[in-house]
Amino acid sequence: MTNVKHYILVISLLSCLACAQDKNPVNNAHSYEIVVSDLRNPWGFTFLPDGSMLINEKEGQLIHYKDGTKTTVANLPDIYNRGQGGLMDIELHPNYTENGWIYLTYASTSGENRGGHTAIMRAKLKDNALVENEVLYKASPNTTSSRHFGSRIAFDDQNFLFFSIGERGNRDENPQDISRDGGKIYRINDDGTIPNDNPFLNEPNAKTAIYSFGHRNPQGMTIHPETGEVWTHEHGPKGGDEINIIHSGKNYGWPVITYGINYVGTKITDETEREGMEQPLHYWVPSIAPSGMAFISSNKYKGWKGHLLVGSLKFQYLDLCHIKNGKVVKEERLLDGLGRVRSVEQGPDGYIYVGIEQLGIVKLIKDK
Amino acid sequence: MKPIIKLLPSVLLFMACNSSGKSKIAIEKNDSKEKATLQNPNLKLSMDRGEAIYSDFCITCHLPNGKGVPNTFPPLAKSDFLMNKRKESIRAIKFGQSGKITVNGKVYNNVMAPLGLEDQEIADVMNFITNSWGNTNNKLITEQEVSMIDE
Repeated sequence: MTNVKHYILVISLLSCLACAQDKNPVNNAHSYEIVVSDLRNPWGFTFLPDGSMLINEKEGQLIHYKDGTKTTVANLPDIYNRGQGGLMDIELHPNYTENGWIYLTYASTSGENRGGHTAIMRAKLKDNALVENEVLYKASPNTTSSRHFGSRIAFDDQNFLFFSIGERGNRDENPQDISRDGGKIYRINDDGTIPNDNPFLNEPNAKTAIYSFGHRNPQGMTIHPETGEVWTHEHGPKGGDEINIIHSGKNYGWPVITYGINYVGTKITDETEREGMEQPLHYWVPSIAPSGMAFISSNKYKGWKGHLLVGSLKFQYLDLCHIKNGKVVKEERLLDGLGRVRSVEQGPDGYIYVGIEQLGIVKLIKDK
Repeated sequence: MKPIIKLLPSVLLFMACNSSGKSKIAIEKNDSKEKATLQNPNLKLSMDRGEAIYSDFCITCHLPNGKGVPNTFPPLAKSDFLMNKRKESIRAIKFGQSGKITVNGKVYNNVMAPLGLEDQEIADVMNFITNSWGNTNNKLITEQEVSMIDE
């Protein structure tokens, strides 16, 4: 009888451990106001110089939000709205006021094979329509898998264009093979040409736009406001979501090393580190399912300047990652329970704007 | 009172997490699938394709054992909605589902975005979920039947 009791105790302890909970404390010293309402999945958004917003609805709608009115932008490319794919991120060229270029990522069926893969394009906005559309990169081969399109975009301070493409659910073939698309961070010039110091230019059969590899599904990317480094985060499997700083030619390890396990609870690997593979700056077990990423670089949030914000889809909060000496030292839940946080941006006014599924875009306000 | 409210989500998550922990066993012991497919080779082919679709598109929310997540994602296993409301179930997969629905006496108010599946894929995944985890459905769902369902 005692044995049985012990057995039950051990099992419950094990199941507790296996199912570690997100313990980040809730921060209540803030509030929010809804800026744009009635959005289904604002996957990405950005601000035009006049203060209006361009908002990507994942299902394939580009909305120009100005003076309280939503206008649908015409002449989008054909968008493959399937599973996690659709119309994804949007970013302006750093010199937008001079050249007018807008960059978009989306899932596309163009090319051979059934299904789709991630594409990045640029276009200009004229009379509520995209014009001068140019596809800059389209990953291949297409697949009908619902998963892992990546798709975040960021320009660094030298105007190199970085974007992510997830491994499309094919972890055994894509992330560790630089001759294949997917599971990579890419770097191209603003016109789609390949920079002449990309790391794999001289590797046989390599996709030369690749900048780093061994990624799973990065849905967060931003530039550190002081160091200029490219910071990303990515979804792990069950556990093992990561924050990484992206360096040229590096291997970030998926699926050879990971802090996560298979979705059904079985192991992927025993290894969490290996020589020649990068360790994450930070990782989450259990997974928070991160999407959207921005640093607070303005003075609008006293005490939070320099900290990092990451959306949690799974636990439905905005994760305030306190950064000290380049490390995450503490996390707090902002906007707790408001909805699945999909996108985060610091606006030109210095305030933080947060895209939340089935809600809209809200402005974060610090109370004290 | 307040601490209880704060505790509630973690309790729910704990439950959700526990049920996913058992999931592998549930997939291995899918007796109803075996029974159904013994009699009908077309059903077996459709269910095999449907299982792949399920593992790709549905498993994250409805879980490997089809039990869903309490109060968040409704169960498919022994679900009265799925088994009695064939058209509504197909429509939900085809065009997405939002707003209140009642499953096994419990009200769910959540959103399932349109998945972007083709009609044949919807038929396949319907054949899989209506013949798994204790569910049995003796009337094969076809691509044509799915194509007739309007938004």
